[in-house]
Amino acid sequence: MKINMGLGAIFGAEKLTETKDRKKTAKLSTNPKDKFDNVEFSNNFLECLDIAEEIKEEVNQVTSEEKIIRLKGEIESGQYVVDCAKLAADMINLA
Amino acid sequence: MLNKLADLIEELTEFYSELNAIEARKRSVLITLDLNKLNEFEHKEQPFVLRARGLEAQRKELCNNLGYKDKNLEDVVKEIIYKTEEEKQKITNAYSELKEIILNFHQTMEENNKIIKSYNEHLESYANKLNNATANNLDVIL
Repeated sequence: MKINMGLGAIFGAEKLTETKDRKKTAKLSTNPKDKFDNVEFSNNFLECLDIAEEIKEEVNQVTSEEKIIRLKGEIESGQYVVDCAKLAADMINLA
Repeated sequence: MLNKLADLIEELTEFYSELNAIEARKRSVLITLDLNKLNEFEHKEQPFVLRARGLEAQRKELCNNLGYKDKNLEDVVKEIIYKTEEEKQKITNAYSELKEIILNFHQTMEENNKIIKSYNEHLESYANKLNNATANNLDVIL
């Protein structure tokens, strides 16, 4: 979005509105990577920048989610000994 | 047969004592959330899980042979008929020691689990915030 604002100032408000409209249409279609591959750079430079920014956001989100899942997995690996604890509890009739 | 029971109780005591020491050391690693060290503990724990199952299989077999099928160790030690008072003392004392070790181990596990649960709650909360933030960003963009 920062990129758009900067370029909006350069190209003028009219251009920025036009970009937003294009982006709204682009958002309704498939995933950003596919959209990016299908856009012609020479004709739709601003749209390419928008979609590139969108991809970056999605990649950041996926990375963070993967990190959370990985972290949860690593922390929960400490649960290996739960089996041992259960066996021990049953052995001494611990409720 | 009762000698085998005494030996098994001693082996179990040694086993859970060792495992309890590992879990107690792991607590400090959990608190600092040192993932590399946590992985090391995971490798240390794996053989213990297998050995615990092996010892449990031995215990079941021995209890079956003594005529106490599907009974836990507590019941067997209480109900078994001892030949001598000395034998009774030996086994009940050994069992008391084992029970104390297992109670300590249980306590250590509970404390570690509380830390793990707390981390998981934080992570889930962070994941929710992340999802909401992304949805809000999309709203702003559209």
